[in-house]
Amino acid sequence: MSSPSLDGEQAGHELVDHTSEVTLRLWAPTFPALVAEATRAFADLVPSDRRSADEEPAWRELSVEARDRAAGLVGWLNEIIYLCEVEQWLPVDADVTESDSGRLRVRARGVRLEMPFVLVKAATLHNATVREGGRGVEGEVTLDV
Amino acid sequence: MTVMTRPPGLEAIRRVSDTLVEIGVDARHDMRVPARVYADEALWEQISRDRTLEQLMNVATLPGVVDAVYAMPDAHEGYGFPVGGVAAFRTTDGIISPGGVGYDINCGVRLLVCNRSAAEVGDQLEPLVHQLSRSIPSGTGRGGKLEMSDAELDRVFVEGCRYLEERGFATAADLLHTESGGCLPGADPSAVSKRARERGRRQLGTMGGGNHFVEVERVDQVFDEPAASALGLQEDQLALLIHTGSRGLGHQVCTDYVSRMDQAMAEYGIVIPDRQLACAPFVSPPGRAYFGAMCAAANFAWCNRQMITHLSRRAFASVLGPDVELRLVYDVAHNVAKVEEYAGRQLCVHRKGATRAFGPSHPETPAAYRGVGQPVFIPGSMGTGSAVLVGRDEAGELSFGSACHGAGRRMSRGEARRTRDGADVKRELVARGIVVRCPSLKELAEEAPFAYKDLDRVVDVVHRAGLARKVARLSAMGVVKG
Repeated sequence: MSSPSLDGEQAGHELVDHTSEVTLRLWAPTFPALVAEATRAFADLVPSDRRSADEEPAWRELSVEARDRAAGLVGWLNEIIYLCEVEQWLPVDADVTESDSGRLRVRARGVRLEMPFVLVKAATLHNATVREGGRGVEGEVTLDV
Repeated sequence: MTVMTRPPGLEAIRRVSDTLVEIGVDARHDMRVPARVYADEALWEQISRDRTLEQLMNVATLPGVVDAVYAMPDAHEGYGFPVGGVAAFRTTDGIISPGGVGYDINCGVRLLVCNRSAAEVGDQLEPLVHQLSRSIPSGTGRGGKLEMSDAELDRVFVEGCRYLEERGFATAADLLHTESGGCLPGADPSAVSKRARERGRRQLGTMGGGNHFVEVERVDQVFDEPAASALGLQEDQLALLIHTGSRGLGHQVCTDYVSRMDQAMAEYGIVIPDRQLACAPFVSPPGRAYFGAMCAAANFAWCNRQMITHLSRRAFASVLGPDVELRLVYDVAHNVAKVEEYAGRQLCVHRKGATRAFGPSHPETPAAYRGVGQPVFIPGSMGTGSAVLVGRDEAGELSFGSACHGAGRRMSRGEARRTRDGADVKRELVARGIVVRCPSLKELAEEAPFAYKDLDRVVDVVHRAGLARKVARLSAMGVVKG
């Protein structure tokens, strides 16, 4: 699946499943755009009928501390998992700033969920990668589902 | 040496017996101990298809690992540790790894038997399964009926099922037949983050999604009459199997400590082949903190299964009458790290997707089962039945007292969905007389029998390898899916 990134170039994602888990494969022109794409990718996992139709999307300022980009990407996905489960709030898009390698400031636009979304337990560090590749910045994260 | 299937590049593999394959320490320069896989040739062929062996060898590189690392016959690729992996580390200079326990801390299974036969249930089966599905919140995100304050959560963390006994949700007999009495000592509530508490606060007494379930069972076949009798099982008896864990609380504890240890490892000079194996010395501050938080989450999980037991007893009574009884045979964890003693050594045994299987003479085997062995439950795929076994003393040397925990996936969830439609799976189960309640047909397809290994083959290897002894087989009558 592809979507326009913040600077107009293509970003995208795909889900690759293996025996027990699911790997999220992402690409984008820049690392912040990759994190924004991860936001949209996770939102795609949540059925649309779970989203509240009564409220307008709202913005929140969030941050992630990590020691490198792969951990930063995993940390952001774990932040989303927590928000969906406890606060019933699903980020659907994001403006991302990288202040240091892996340290992120995220201005996220999100919607209320009618009930907690609990089907993804966690984003893992297992084979988590962020690197330069043929499609710009490429990343992989395995989700425990 | 037997000629056998070998993944490319793995020349140091030899078949030791028809149920055991060993990968020698010379298979990879960084392995500290051999890796042993309990599998016959057919299961070996399945296990060696994905990255299970690579992950098992990764575990064999961790500091303080002793003797050997093991894969059970149901093993498959996970993240960090393989699912179905067992490894033990010295508590003096070895590590503890959150990834070696997994996200669903103390996911486990409990079996209850009823004072009614399956035949007596008759046309009450459908109302019974319906009432169970109404009573037990499942994977759709529905919260539990209890919302716990921090003080109440602290008591769950420290006292485990003893706290629920005080609240009237458990009996003394329930605690006697729960692994570790439903309470691991060593829980440290201060090591459980605010986020973990928030995720767990409304989840006590909830099943969760994925492969979690509550199944109404019939004791279909007894293989070992004396052992079955000691466990209180007889043919055609009605039973209930509950499979769930520590829910979001456990997931967050694992998330918190994988991240913390990932950042702390350099301080201890630990180098690992997969970041999800992030670990710290057992005696270090992060190691002790994780152990305290993991014990708290494990105690939460036992309380979760106990609350579901309480709700199930009420559901049974409301449908089958007030004189109906559900007696707990046993509750056993399959995702946990515990301090145990082997050959005079104190070890931190990690079981990820593996069940403790202590033998008849082990002091932790409940008094009622001494001379028989600790009950071990191996659920098959949804609707295909499950196996009851008892641990053997020999398992102490063969696998750190461990056996497998299920049939084991052989197909990804996506492939399962592409192979068969959920509605077809439901029709097939219904055609076999099984009552099904599931919030999503998609999940029904993901957990369908064809997505799993052959239960009978897995159980046969466990039995023949001497890890545990077959006692009985259960068949599903009703399935409530998470």
